[in-house]
Amino acid sequence: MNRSDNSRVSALTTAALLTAARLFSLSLYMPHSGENAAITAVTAAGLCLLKLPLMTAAALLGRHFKESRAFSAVTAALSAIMIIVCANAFAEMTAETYPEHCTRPTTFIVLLCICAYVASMGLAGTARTASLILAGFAAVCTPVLIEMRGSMLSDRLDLLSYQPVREITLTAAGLLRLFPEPVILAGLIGGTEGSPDRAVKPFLIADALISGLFFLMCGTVMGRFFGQSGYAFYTLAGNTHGAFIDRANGIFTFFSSSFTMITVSALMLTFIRSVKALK
Amino acid sequence: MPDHGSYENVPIAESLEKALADLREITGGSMDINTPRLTINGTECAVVTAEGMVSGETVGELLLLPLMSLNGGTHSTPQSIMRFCTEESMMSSNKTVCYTYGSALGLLFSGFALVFVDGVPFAAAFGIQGYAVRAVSQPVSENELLASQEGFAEVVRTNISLIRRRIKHPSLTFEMIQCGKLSSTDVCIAYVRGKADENAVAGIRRRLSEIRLDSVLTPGYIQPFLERDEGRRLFSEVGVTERPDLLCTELIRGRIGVIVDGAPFALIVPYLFAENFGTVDDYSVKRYYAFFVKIMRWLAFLLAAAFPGVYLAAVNHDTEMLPLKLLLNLAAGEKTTLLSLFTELVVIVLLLEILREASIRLPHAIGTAMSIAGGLIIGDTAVKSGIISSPLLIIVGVTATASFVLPSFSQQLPVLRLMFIFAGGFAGFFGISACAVMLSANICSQSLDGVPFSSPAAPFHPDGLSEMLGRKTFRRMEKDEPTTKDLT
Repeated sequence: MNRSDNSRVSALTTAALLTAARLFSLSLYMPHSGENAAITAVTAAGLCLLKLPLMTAAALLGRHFKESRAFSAVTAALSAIMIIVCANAFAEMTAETYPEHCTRPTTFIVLLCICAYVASMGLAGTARTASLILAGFAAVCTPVLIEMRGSMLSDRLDLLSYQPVREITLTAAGLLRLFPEPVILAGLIGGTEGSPDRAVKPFLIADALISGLFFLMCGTVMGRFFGQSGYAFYTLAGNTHGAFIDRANGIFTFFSSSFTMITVSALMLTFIRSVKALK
Repeated sequence: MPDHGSYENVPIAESLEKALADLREITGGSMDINTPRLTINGTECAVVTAEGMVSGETVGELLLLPLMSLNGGTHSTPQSIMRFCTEESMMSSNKTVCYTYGSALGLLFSGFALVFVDGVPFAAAFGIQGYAVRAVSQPVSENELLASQEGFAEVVRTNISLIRRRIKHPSLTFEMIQCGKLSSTDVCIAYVRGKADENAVAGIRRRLSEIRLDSVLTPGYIQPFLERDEGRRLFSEVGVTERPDLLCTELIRGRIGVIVDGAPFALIVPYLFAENFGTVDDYSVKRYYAFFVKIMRWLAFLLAAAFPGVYLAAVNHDTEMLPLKLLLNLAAGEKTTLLSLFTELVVIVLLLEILREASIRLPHAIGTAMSIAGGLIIGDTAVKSGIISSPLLIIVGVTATASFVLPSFSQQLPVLRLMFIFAGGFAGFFGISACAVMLSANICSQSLDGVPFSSPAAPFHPDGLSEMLGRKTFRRMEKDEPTTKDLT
């Protein structure tokens, strides 16, 4: 296997890229009023079953129709829309979280410039960065989350729901509000070595585990206030307390920003590849 | 008549007078060309040498004495005298025959003595170099405690012998080529056949032969020709070492060495980012200690590059990260200073870089005085006068100490540090994240001859992880046959 050029990566590296995109979506997840964290955890894990055919289809389409002009036009349009949606969602979050330092347009423009640079480093640069950032995320967050164990009480988890179907539907809609993974996969599967399954399945397993764990933690820390927590990821950060770091907001910002940059860069790569295929 | 612009392929004249006149014309009558003449049994001969390039004693003992002994003997024709020189005698083990002025002058300026015989249209060349050279000495920037204390010297052939002494196997191959239109510098490619990728060797050979520079004076002149997308990269996929033992370790792993005459350094192609954190001593200490030290080096890299920027981001943007007592202490320190934290940090980091640059260029005696002036007087006065705060001095001290752990990153770390400071100062952890992602993408996108620069971390190779964070056991190394293919 020769990866001397920057356009090809292994299936596991693509899975890491998709997982980073999922973590980006989770870090910007905002529960609706009265949302039940236990239901959200189950819905997020369950959605992975529904995502399996969707992601597999996206991968197969990407692999078989990568030369097709119609397919390239669709992926170019979808990736352009997703770039704006994702960058805007992040800019909105920073403007709310750091109102004294960040304005929405500035963050939006700066983010696009950074992502253009990262995308210019090619698929290998972007996807391998995703795998390194994921490893860093696991290494840094594990002690932070272990230190959070005092704030997590299982009896805060509300298992009662009066309208479970409505709750699940609303939650699923919220979870799929930022869902760039199929577009990224369809656009970049051409640069992935091996079977698409080897990228899709590890990604969906990681998605189910991370999403389930994240929302269960939110539920055990925030209890019934989960629905009023705003950006749940940052509210969780505010509840950490460690030996050296009092509250890990900065660390969470670091990883949230990194996942955003990787996601938008991957979408830019998809856009560039699709536009090139159109010519 | 040939001149200095067109002599390369001109055949050597049969007449000695004409040949010497041609040499004078080509070299412009340069004073460093010696042409002592002698007559052997009625035949005119000349021994041409370059001043200072050959040993006078050796010329006398190995060339002139045997030639003079022919007087009165059976060698009476020009052809028989030349045959004596080229076939019947062993004046030097390194001898050859030159038919053109180009090859003759190339050897002359490499320390060969040329023997011309009137009536013979070629010259015999004898390698009896005797120029002044620096002896093999201790490496300056790569000191090791439990390894060889020999470093490369300036002469390429000495360096070749330092490698050959350590790898006594016929698979170790050296190829010599000349680079530089004017300098004709000897550049040696070293590799172990069967370990090194043949295509990579051919690629290096091609890239070196395509260099069209006037001169190649240091490895730095050819390094950009060996790198890929040199202008876009922060780090180099080509390593530099002054240790023969380190180069041997790399050759055995399938890397290719490039040694340039005139500089006590060798280039290693391809080189990985993680290899900057390893030393030869790692293989001389206990494995647990090798792991400990290597992790310290990774930590030092992070501290040297990002610590001031992260501190700035935490203090200016995410103060809730800091425990209350620490925050109050920092606030008390900052209260008395005149400048903003960001300005203070930029000023002191720039000052540190100026001091570092000055200490490298200055003679040792003045360097000590400069350290006192810079470290004690400026540092102490700056704190007392309230220009910078004491906590900041600790941050910069830690950063500077950490940066000395990895001298191979001496070019990158100051720039990265400033980038992180600006990013952390303007955009907090969003800026730090931007820098980290851009840096990581830059590193991960690099590859040379099919070997990703970020291997074995990305793409992930579990086998390489122990080398990246520590070292393999010797039992494991007995079984391993490492090549660069393992890293692709």
